[in-house]
Amino acid sequence: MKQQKRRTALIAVLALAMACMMGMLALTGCGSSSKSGLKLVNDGKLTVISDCDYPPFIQLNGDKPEGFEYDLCEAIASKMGLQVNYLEPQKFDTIITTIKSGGKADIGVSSFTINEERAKEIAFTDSYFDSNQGVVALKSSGYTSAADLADKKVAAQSGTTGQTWAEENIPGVQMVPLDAATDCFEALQSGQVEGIVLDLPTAKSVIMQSFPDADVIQEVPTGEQYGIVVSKDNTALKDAINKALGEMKSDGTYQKIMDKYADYFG
Amino acid sequence: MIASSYREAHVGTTGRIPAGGRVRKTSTSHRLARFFSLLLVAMLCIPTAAFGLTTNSTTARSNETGSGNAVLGGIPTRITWEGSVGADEQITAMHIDFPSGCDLDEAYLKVTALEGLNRLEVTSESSFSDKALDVTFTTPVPSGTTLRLEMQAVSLPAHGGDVVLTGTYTDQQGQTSALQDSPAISVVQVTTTERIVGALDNAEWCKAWNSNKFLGTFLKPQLIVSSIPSLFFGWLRALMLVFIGFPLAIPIGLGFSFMKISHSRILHFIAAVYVNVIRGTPLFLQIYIAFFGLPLMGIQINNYVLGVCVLAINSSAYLCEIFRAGIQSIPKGQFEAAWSLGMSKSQTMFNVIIPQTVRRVIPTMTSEFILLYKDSSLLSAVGVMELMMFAKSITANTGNITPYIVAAGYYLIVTLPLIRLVNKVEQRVARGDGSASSNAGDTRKRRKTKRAAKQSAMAMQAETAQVGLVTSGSLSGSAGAAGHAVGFVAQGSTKGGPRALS
Repeated sequence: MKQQKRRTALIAVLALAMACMMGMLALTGCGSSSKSGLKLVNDGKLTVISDCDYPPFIQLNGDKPEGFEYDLCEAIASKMGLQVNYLEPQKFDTIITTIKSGGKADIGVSSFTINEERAKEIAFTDSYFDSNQGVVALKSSGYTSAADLADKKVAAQSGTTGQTWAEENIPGVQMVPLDAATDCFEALQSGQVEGIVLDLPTAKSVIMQSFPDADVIQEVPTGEQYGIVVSKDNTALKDAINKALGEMKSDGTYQKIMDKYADYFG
Repeated sequence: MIASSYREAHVGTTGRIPAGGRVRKTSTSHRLARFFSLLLVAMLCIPTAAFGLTTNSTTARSNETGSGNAVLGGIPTRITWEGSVGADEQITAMHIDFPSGCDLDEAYLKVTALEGLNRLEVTSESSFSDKALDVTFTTPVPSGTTLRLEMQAVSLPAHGGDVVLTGTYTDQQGQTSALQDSPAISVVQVTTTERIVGALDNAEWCKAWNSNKFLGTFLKPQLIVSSIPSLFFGWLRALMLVFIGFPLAIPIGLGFSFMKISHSRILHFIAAVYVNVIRGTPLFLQIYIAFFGLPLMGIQINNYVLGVCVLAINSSAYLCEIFRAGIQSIPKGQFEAAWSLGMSKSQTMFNVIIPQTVRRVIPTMTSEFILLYKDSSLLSAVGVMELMMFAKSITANTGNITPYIVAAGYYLIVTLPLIRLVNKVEQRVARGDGSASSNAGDTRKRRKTKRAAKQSAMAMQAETAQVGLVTSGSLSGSAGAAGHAVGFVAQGSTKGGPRALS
């Protein structure tokens, strides 16, 4: 009796495993080709993945993403004759891996600075934004520059260029890498860390929106550029996006989107 | 020295000095000239203005795999030189010398120029020779620009030491001046791990292995080698958290279990609320409340201490239930027997009941320990540096899953032997029981989960009647601290109740 039961269980487990594998094959195997000749996860849709927690570039309003990058993606997609489909937010430091492994989303748009380390894993489109870093501290702290944060605890979003900058430029810094930009501000306000290093437009935006007792104590001119993350295997998509971006820059669509968020970028 | 010679050159070329020629003519121009010359002197006194191109900083990115923050020699890294172009100056070329021992074979350059916070388009041509970098700017870099040279894939001397970059720059007049020495970059000698990683990088089998998407993402040999030592400290910290947290949870849990079985309604109520609230909410939520809530109230606690506290509080609620079930599984006859011998309530509890309970709850407690150890990983979300956090930071840097696999190994090192131990103990208990449950104990339950263990705790309660027999049955066999007390009570209980010995 017992033996038989176990055997049925075993068969059930095996069948389940087979089903899972078949499912995975189906997902990765047949990336559908749309009419435009592009390899997309969902035909007719530009599937975007983002952490959706980085104002003013991207944030959730209820469950709908909005912000500079959302507008940008919509404009790019409409140039390409596609619809934008934002997936559920995903942690920042997992997005590149997701795009690299493929099958889930076409592009990752989450304020990724184009850099060599990332370019080894995935491909970047042309840049769509010039950014800088900002060092943030509480107004009451009396800190005036990043140098004041030496040997102190500093938060940054895990895997960001802000984290790298802080590790490289603040002597003896104790990094506290957190999941989201807003977590960093909560940690700052609760006194867990003395400072934050993050992208300047986001720093300004978050301070303006919800953390008025913090301030940007140093603007770090890094001149880094954001790019859209595309799988290295999908050069056609990268080229199509670059073409759309180029058109948007020349016909004024891009400038219109920039102007909409000028308050944060100034 | 260099500064003063530059100052002269600067004065000669600015064209402001001739203003002094008009000094004699009118008093207004006199004043103006004095103002200008004062301004000039003031400008010269500002140290940054002394150079046509000031070195602001020179840093190297840490190339230590894992959690370290050191710059290692002999392994490619990125060096960032940052400087500002002085007033009335334009830079047309730069030359940077590297100390001997640097390897520039693979090196390449990325130039960024900024005016304030805005990028400037600067085109440049660069070339690396054996020991130096030469950059020519197609359009001269204007004054007031922040210039950043990112030298990628530069290997610093393998023997370590301080590295200082020197060099020259050329201005629009074609004049070449010396560059300020860069601040020293301290380079650390390559560790054994890094040397193995370097060897693996070049190994053919390793390249073939990594070319497979699955193997390269989940089991990259280089990252396995580098993760093991760097995760080790995370592992120790995770162990520390749970080895302090769990023993703390035991007395708290025991206290609450007494409250729960107490006849006082208030005490019972408090314990029930405590246990239900903590068992009814996710540990993750409790961590967030503690880590973000307490500091907002002005309570500042060290992250590790707070982490230990949250784990202890969480675990105490589960332990409370385990202990309660354990205590209540001891047959009533034992209590009655002890009382009939004139023992007080606390004497009964600590000398008779608890020693018997210990043996029964150990398997369940061990399962709870395993669970707590695994759950300590949740603390990584709030910045407590433990095993999971170490793995996460390496994964964030490399975009590879291998560190998580190594972390899984570190968790299993602890949990697998404990799971085995739980099984062994349970088998022994079951065999000792000699009752119907021994069947279940003898079949090999390799994949014993906590739920199963918990169920057995519940079963203890249900099996009270059998257990009554068991206690007497195991009398002769048990040789622990419990043995004495149990024997004592069992004798007594012959008088107290007919159930104990049969």
